[in-house]
Amino acid sequence: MTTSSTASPALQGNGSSRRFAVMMWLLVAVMLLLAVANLLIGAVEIPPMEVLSILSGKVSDNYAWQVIVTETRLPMIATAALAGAALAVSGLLLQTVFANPLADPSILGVSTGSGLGVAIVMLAFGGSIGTVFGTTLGGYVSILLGAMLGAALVLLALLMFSMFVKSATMLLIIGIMVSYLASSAISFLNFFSTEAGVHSYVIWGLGNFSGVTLQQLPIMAIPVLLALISTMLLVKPLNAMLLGSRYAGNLGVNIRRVRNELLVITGVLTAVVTAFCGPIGFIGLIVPHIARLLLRTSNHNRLIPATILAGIDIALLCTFISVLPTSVGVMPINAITPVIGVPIIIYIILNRKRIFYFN
Amino acid sequence: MPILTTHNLSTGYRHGSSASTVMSHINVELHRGCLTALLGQNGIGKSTLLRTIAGSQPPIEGSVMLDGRDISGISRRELSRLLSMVFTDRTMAGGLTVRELVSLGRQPHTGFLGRLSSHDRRVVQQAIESVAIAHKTDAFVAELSDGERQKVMIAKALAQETPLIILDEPTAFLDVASRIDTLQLLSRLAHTTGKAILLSTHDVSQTLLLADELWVVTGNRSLLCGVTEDVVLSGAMQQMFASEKVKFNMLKGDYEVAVPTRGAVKLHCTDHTLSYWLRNALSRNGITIVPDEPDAPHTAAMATITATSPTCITVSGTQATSVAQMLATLTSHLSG
Repeated sequence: MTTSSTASPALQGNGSSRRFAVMMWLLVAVMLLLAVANLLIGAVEIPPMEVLSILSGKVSDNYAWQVIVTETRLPMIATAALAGAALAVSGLLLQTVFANPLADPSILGVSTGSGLGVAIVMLAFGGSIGTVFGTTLGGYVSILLGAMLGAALVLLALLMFSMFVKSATMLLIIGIMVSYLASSAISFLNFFSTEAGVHSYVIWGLGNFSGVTLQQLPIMAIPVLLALISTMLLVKPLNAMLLGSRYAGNLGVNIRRVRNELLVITGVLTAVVTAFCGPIGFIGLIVPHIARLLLRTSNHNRLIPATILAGIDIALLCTFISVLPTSVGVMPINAITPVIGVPIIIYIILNRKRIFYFN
Repeated sequence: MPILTTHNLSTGYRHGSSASTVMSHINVELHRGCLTALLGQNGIGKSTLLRTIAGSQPPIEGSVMLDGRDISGISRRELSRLLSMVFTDRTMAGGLTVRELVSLGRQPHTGFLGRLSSHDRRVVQQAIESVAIAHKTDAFVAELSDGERQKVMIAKALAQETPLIILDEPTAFLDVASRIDTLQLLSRLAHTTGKAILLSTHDVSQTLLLADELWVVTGNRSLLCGVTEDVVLSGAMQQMFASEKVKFNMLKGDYEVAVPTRGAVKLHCTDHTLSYWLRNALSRNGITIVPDEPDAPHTAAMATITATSPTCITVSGTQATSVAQMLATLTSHLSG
């Protein structure tokens, strides 16, 4: 990523909006491609024509295929898309709020906080995640609330520390420490839990997009969509916050209120995804950078839609890799995200002096 | 009418019920079309004063009146249209273009989603042009030099269209050329736009050349104000530092090190520049110059220096072809 040359200003101006259009179409195309790939290809081989016919509403002769397409692949694609968009946007918001390009829900411990909430609710219900997930709406809602409470607690702690700790790096380390504390509490809970509980917790912790049924999808979709819409409405203060809180305050932004709103949105997005899919790392960290590098801007006006699309793309890519035919079934998502995420983060850290949006 | 006045203002910090006062009994005014400079040593309370005047820190006592109203009663949104600030804070705005950053200055005037009208765009363009950075309009802020970046922040403040701009050490991290450039820009903006501009700075010599008014915080935390020359001539500058080691040179308009006196000479030199730098060399070496009058009361002069060019300096009859030789001769006089 080299810095742009000094072409004629008018041309460059046009270039950036043309670039936006091109990149958005590209991201949409990749999204459609991956969605189709995820429908057609999976652990079980189904003829493409058969998939299309099932999608068009025809009842297939092969009942198993029918179930796999409508009750496994479709909800999985929707879940991955929602989770990808949610995690990517919460990463972007945390990076702006904490003025730290390495912030994301898993690094700052928000995901772990949600995980702790989930673990506590599970124990309170006296069972494992597997059994709670398999049962009532009430069970779902309480898991969701537990996750949100956990996320909120971690965010609140971070916010409190951010008042005393001015250094972004130190705050990041505090986030990691808070995350360790939450992990330790989770370990305690697991220690006292049943063997089945521990097993399902470990499976949940590996991350997957295939645990949400078509009927449960709205419970995940509604809060995520509401949070994403709220984010779009905060573009103006988000851009002001790029200048730091003092400048933003002087531009009329009520820093405290906006920051709280942003943290609530981040908490909801992270908690919902964590409750349904497990604590998923790296998507929140890398996707905002991918979006900035593609669009060549830090302007949230364009960055938020691009982050949403890129988040969907990356999550669908991870899903696609996870269901590639293996002998043991679906691979855990958290085994795949670091393989994609770590090289990107290292690339960004190594090139930070040359990447246009730093400093 | 001044745009800003303070009435018996005390600045400081509250800790619960107790308060620690930094400066007290401040009664000052800021005038439209004036560049006012706040001078004072580090840690004396300049930033606290600026924050209090800008309404972001409550006063311990007294009041700040902005545009005829008590600043504590002005809403955040309204305040953002009356007063714009420039800091030296690190930002995350490297990925915005100059135009996008300056457009942020329009936020107090735009609606909920921050959409810019054609009027807003014109104001932004004008702001960019008036800080002479138009050729970088579409460059990323990350690509700019420190001086250019500071100009962009000033353009942001201009785009805010406020009658008052406050800058906290805007020249702190700039090289000499950018410092002069920035101060000149601020002076020109104050005079052409009729805005009141207040800045804090450590750049004494440049400030004395360009500021219309001075606020000098003395070593004992009182504030001396007035038109620049009045303040300088009143001797206020010498009170800025409590130290005996630095003294204000009224002729140079800057601080210099106070060197213990080792001797005195008479100086004959008609060339202005040569005379200035000879004096510089002498004072640096602790040698004062006594008035060159035949019937001067004291005859302490150890030598008479006559200079016609940098290569022709006579020290009591001894020829010197450089300032270095002149100093060497004088040193031998001193030791002898």
